[in-house]
Amino acid sequence: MRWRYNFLFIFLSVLFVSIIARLFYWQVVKAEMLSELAISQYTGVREIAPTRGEIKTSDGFPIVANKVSYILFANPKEIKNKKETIDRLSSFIDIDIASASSLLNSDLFWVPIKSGVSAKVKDEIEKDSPIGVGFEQQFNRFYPEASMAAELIGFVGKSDEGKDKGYFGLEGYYDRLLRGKEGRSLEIRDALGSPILSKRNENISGIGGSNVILSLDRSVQFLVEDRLKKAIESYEATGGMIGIMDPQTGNIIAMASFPTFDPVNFQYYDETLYSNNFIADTYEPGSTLKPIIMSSALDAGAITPLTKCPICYGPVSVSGYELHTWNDKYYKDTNMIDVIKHSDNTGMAFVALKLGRDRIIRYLDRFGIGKLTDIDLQGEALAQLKPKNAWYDVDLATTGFGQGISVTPIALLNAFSAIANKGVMMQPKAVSAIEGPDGKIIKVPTKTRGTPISEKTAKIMTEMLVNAVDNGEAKWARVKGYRVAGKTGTASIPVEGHYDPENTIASFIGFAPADDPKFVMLVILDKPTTSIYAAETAAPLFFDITKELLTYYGIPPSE
Amino acid sequence: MKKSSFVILLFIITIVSLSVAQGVVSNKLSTKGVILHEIEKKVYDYKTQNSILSEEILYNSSLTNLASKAAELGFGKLREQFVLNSGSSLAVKP
Repeated sequence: MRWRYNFLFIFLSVLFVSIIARLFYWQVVKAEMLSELAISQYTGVREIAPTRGEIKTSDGFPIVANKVSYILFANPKEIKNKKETIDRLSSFIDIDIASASSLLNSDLFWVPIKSGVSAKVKDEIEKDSPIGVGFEQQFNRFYPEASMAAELIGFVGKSDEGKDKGYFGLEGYYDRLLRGKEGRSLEIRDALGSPILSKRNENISGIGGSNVILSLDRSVQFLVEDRLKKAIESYEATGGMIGIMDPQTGNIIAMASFPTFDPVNFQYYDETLYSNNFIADTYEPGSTLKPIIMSSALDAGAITPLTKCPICYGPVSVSGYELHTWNDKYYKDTNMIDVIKHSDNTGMAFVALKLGRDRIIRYLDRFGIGKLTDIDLQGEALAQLKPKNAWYDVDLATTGFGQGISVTPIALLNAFSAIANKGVMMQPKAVSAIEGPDGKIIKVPTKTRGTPISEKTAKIMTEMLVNAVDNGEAKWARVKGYRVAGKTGTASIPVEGHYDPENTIASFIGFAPADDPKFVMLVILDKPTTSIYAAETAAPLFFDITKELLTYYGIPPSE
Repeated sequence: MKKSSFVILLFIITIVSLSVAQGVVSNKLSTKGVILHEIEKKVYDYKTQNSILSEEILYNSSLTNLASKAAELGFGKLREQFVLNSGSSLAVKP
C-alpha cells in the first residue's frame, strides 16, 4: 500500500515542478516577447509630423506658409469594381488611369492614388461615398505671393528617407530650424479599436518648426520684380537680376532674378534655374568695379581727386596689350573726378598701376572681393582672386576697369555698400529674426564685416559718384531733385579665351539719398539687345526703381 | 474574540466597499476614451478649417492678388507727386 502513496507523491511532485518550470518559461524567459505582442495588439502608435516653419517678410506676412492637402489612398482588397472606382475618381481629379488601375490591382491593403488633393475636392469625393477609398492629411508648402523671390526662398523636396527637406536659398540654409521635430502618440485601445484612458497613454509632443522672419520688404520686392520683368522684355535681354541692401545694417531689402521658377512645381523646371544667380553667378563687373579701385587708391594715398592722368591722351599700351576707352574718346590731363564721370578705362588703368599689385590685392581683400560674403542663403559661389604671383601689369590695368576679374553680384554690392556707409562694410543677411514655436522672437544681430576705407575716403568717393550721375553718360535718366550716387558698367563677356564682340552685361550700381543712404542697389541685365550700353538699359531701370523707392520711403527732394 | 471579529468585519467591509468603488469608477472611465477621441477629432477638424481659412486670407491679401484685382477694377498708378516743404502762407500778396 505504501508504494502507492510514494508513487502518487512523486507523480504529483513531478507534475508540479513541470508546471512551475513552464510558468517560469512563459513568464520570465518569454516575458518580453509576449509583452511586446500584447502592446502591439492593444496600443496604437501614431507619428505626429511637425508643421514646417513659415517664412515671413519684414511686415510679418508669410511669403511661404503651409496648406492642408490630402493623400487620396485606396484599399484594393475592399474595392470590388476597380474600373468603376477609377472612373468615378477621375471625374473629380486628374489621375493617370493606367497607373491607378495597376495600383488597384496590386495585392496590398494601402496604395496612394494621388497626393496634394485640396480640401474642397476631398469633400466632393467623400460626398460620393466611394468604397475602399480614404484620405490622409498632409501639409504642403503654400506660396501666397506665387513665385515672388523664388530663388531667395528655394523649395521643399524630399530627402532620401522620403521626408520633407529644403533645398537652395532659405529653405536649404535654414532647413533644420524650419523642419521641427516629430512627435509620437501611444494610445491604449480596446478590442474594437476605441481608445481607453489609461495612465500608460503616452504623448511625446513634437516640436513645430521655427518661423523665419526676413528683412525682405514685400512691397519693394513686388516693385523690383515687376520692373525687372518689364525691363528684360523691353531691352530684349536674356535675363537680369537686382539686389537691394540697407548699407547700415546689411539687411537684404529685395533680391530678384529672372528667369525664375515656380517653387510649387520646381520639378518641371531646369535645375539651373534653382540657384540664386545673385549669389551663385560669377561675372566680370566692368566699370561698376571702378569705384572700388578708385576708393582704394584714394584711401591708400596713391592719388587724390585732382591727380591728373598723364597717359590718358590716347590708348594705353600695357605689356603689349592696347587698352581703349569704351567710346574711344580720350581726355588729356583728365583728373580722377572726370575719370569716373567719363568711365575712362585708360584713367583707371593708370590708377590701378599707381596703386600697385600688393595694395590692390590687399584692398580687394578688405572689400571682400575674392571671398564669400557668408550671406545666410544656400548656394553662394566663390569667385577667387588670382594668386599673387600670377598678377602681371596687364592684369592690374584691366582690374582697374573691372575686366579680367570675377565677382558675384552680392560680393560687389556688399563691397560698394562700404562707400555708402562711411567706409564700414556690414555683413549681408536675409533673415532679421527667428520666431520659435513658442512665439519667442530672437533677433539676428547685425555684424560689421570690416572697414576697407576711411569715412573721409567714402565721402570723397560719394561726391565723385554723385558727379558721375549728374554729369555722366546716364544723366538723362537720373532722378531730378535728389542726390544719387552711382556708376554704370558695360562689361564685355569672356568667351573661350576672348571677349564677345556683340554682347555685354549691362549694370548699374548706386545708392540714395547720397548724404544718408537708405538703400544701395545693383541692377544687372544680361545681354540686352536693344542697346548694349548700361547707360541706356540698366541705368534707366535703376533710376526708375530709385524714384519709386524714394517716394515709398517718404524722402523729400533735397534740391 | 469579539474585538477580533469586529476588526475582521471592518476589513471585509473596507475591502468590499473599495472594490465596489473601483468598479464604479472604472465603469465610468471606460467610455471616457471614446469621448476624448471625439474631442480630439473636433480639435483636429477645427485646426484643419483654420488652416484652410488662413490660406484663403493669405491668398486674398497677397500683393499679387491685390495688384491683379486693382487692375481689373481700373485703379491706375499715381502719376504726380508733390512735396510740401514749408508751411503755406495765410495770405499772398497779388
